[in-house]
Parts: sequence; C-alpha cells; structure tokens
Amino acid sequence: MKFNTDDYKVWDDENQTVHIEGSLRLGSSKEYAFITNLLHDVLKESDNKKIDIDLSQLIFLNSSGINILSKFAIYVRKQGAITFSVKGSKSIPWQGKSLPNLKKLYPALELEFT
Amino acid sequence: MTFKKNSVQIIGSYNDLLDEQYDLNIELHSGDNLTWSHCGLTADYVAQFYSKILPTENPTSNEIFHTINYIANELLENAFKFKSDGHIVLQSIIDHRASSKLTLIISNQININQVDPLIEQLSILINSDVEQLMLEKLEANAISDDDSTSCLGFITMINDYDASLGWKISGNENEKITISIMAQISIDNFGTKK
Repeated sequence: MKFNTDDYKVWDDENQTVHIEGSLRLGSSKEYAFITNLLHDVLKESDNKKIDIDLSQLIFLNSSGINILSKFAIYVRKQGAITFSVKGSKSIPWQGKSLPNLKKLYPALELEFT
Repeated sequence: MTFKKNSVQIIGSYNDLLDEQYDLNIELHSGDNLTWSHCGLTADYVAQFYSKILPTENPTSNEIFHTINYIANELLENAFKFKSDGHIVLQSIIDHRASSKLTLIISNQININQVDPLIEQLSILINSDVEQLMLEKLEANAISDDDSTSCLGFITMINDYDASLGWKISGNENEKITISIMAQISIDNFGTKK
C-alpha cells in the first residue's frame, strides 16, 4: 500500500516495514486511520510475528499522530511475542523527546536512532 | 464548582502583557477561508520568525525551531478544534532577561458548556505527575474510540518539551467565554530530553 501527498509518504515494503516520511499534522485518530490500518495489516501479514516502523524521515508528528503510534504499541504489547522495532533519527528533534515514551508503553520495543 | 459568567479563572502559570509588548500579534479570522492546514502554516511562520533572531549554531537552532514549531502547532490545532465563534489570536514574545524565555499565547472563544469539564481536566493535569498521567491517558486512549478530550497535546508539551502552561478563562455578561493558553519555554534549556 502507498499513500502519497505533498506533505507525507506512507508505504510498506516486503520486509514488514512501514515507512512514514515527511510531516504529519492530521486532525484526529480517525484521520490517521489509514496508517493505523496499514500497521495492523502488515502485522497480520507476518502472522502476528513482526513489524518495523521506519520514522527516520518523519520530520514532524503532532500529538494526534503520537497517540496512534502509542495505541499501536499498546496493541502489540497486548498480543505478546511480536518483534516490534521503531527506527528514528538523531537529527529530528521530536523523536528524541517523544519516541522513548513508546518504549515505556512497551518495554520490549526495539528503538533505534540512526 | 461551576464557572460563573462574568468571572475570570486562572489555572497554572499565567501572566499576560499589554498588546503592544508582543513580538507577534496574529489574528486568524474564522470563516470558510480558515482551514486546518493554516494551523501548521502559522506555526511554521512563528518558528521561522524566531529562527532569525535566535542562536544559529547547530544542533541548537534545529532544536529551538522544532520546539517553537511543535508548541505553536499544538496550541493552534487545539484552538481550531475547540473554538466556538470568533477568531484565533496568537501572541508571542521572547524575553531576553536572565534565561531567555519564549512566551506563546493562543486565545479563542469556547462555549460555556465546555468550561466546567475543561477546568476539571486541567485541575487533574496540574496536580499530577505528568509522565505518569501521560502513560495513563495513552493507555485509556488505546481502549477508547473517543480520545478527543484527553488533553494529550498539553501533556506532551509539558512532559516532552518542558513547557510551562497556564490557562485563563474569562466570561462576560453574555456568556461569551474566552480561553487563553500560555506556553512558556526557556530558550537556554535546549537538548534532547531523554
């Protein structure tokens, strides 16, 4: 699946990785549903074993976006035994501030900053 | 406790200035021409405005830009979502005395029936361990379809960006209620939080 606009690009690849790039400032969980649905679909395709999210090119995410990532991390935690990693970038300020909260919600999350 | 029309209630750290003392005084007028995307556009402008006068050595300038951008964006999105009639007003100033401090104030009108629930939420917010409250709200949002009133934007500003927030809610005879939200951040205090 691919979602491209002038502001952001969201797509999944053949390695159970969902890439989210650009700047996301959508208004509510409902408007972010296409990303939530994609994350769930990719996880299902791996028989609920593995999912990676690459945020290393996501330069802005508002609190509604942080909320849906958090919801997904909690969902993964409740399923148990899923390899879940999030890749971020050291040079993108919001990520160092807000992504560690995902690890507090799901301690087994592999969080890597490149 | 019910908010009484024709009164003023302050929650948190709030002290406004005279209009002419602000660096920026922007009014976004409600109507068909004001859209959600104007929140981000205005937040970008505020961050770029201050990037012209603040330190330019990296990575600090990138951090400062993003913090101003994020906080302005959250406050504007909040105003856009919850305003009733009238305009959204953004005011900002950087105080260079002692540790440089950026103050952003966003004002808008809300309906009188929004006031009491809001005051209740804010009272919980200012009396809680913010990190703990954030995790609780995220867990609660995960099992609810309605997360629109979770105050998550405020919590991220305080917990992730070290912003100090204050709210002024004032009403007049005609039940017109104005809310002004003040965010203060120390410019000298930048760096990755965790």
